Amino acid sequence: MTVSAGAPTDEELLGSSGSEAFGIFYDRHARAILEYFARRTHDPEAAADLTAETFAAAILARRRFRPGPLPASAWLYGIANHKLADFQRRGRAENRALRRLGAERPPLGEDDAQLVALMADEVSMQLLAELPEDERQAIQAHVIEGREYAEIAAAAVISEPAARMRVSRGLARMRAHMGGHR
Amino acid sequence: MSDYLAELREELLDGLERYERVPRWRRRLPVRGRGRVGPVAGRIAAAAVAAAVAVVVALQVGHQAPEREQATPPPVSRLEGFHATSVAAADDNLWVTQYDISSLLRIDLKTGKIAARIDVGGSPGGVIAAAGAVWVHDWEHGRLLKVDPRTNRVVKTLHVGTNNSDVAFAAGSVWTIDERGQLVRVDPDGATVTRRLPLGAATTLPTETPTGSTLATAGDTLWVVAGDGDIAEIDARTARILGRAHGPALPVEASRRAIADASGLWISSPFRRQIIHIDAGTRRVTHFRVAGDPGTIAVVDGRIWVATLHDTGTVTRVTVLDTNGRIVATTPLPGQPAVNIVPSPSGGAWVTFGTDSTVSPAALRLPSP
Repeated sequence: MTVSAGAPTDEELLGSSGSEAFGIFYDRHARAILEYFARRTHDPEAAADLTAETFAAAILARRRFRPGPLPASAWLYGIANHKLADFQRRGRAENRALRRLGAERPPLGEDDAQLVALMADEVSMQLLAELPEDERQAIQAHVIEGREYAEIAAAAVISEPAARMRVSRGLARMRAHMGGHR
Repeated sequence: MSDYLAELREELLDGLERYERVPRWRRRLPVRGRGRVGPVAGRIAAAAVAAAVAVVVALQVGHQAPEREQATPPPVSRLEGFHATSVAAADDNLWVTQYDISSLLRIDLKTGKIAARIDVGGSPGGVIAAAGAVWVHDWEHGRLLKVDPRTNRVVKTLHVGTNNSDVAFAAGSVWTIDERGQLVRVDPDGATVTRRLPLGAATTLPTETPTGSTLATAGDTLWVVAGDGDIAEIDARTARILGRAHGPALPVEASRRAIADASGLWISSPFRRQIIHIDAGTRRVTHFRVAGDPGTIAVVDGRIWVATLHDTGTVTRVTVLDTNGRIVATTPLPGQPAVNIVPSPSGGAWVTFGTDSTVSPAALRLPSP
């Protein structure tokens, strides 16, 4: 996560009312939180459940947030830790905070599930490190960091289709190597 | 992954906006021993300000007809000067509970004036007129009160249990939910509890975050809709559970989001721009789409009336549907969300509205389209 100069801090966003500020806060941390759960549960559905519940709980609790010596992200990860502990104790993710918001967790599509699984998989991370540099960077940018193809293309000074191709080839190469590792 | 996170973002922010529209006292209702919310004087002042705003905007209705609406807003009658939680209309009277000042108001619909102000104590919520009496549920102390409309006095008080629940009448009995999530049957003559029926999953048991239960009746059929979406269809004559279904989780608010008619149960979904119909007997589920976010719902003159919020809550309307889902009319409201819709004894409906979705400082009577 990077925050540009002049942008509101996480602490300011949590202290603001309305959905826009929380939307920015979500944008900064959602991917990292999903990855956090993916790596610890190795279950894409559970990771999606816990991510949704963590942010729902953050919405409900944000009025009680008080800036302190630790950054706001630590507060968010504290919620995530509690949710993870509950999940490990109960064997399932709660959705109490989501229900209080009258919200539902969106379904996790097949592609999304595969990508979450990929994020969580240490073998995949090892395979990723072994990919050619251009493919590794493209997958890192798109899958791990969630950047758009257009942005990746601009950064690498290539066309957008070429960026897609690098991601596609890299993923295919990783899938092909999976058999050798498992 | 971006698809999932984008959809989750939308869902969470919709939830946040809904949550912020619900006043804090209503977001976390404790199970028992809840104190009064805020200073009474402050509440009264807030209601008075809101009432004044409501009157002003009500006068502007005629100048606001949006596109695709009825060219001329229907003629309306208007009431103000109260802060309603729930309302019931019967015999030229509008009965209004006011949770924050522990009172039940009787408003004469012929004159528009307050005919009686009855101190009932606690936090009166759900109210119905049935079996020759007015029944008020006090969710703060878990009491059911029987009020004699001839004397305007509370003639019987019985403890039924504290649950942020509803009160209803079916098959000659008054019904509510107790603190253990049981359906409570009350004999209206003696005002005594005659039966407590465990419903299993089909109620919301007291928890850290109670979501309340809604009762909806049609003839001898009683529907129990728990806040978490569990639904039970019950034969009120025998108190036998006919079947179960599941609907959306419903937020805690004064607005009624479930209503029944002879065809089945109608639910105003809080997050899908949908009205859900569950068929009586088969419990087959049908979804009807409405524009805007649906709020309180009622059966009026054989049709379904539902309050809808549009453009993230800045435009409020009442949408009327036929029971086949066809939208018959959409009527603009003066700026504030509708909290209650109750059929008027003279046709059409009284619509109360207010800024915080629980306290209505004013009401309009809308004729049937």
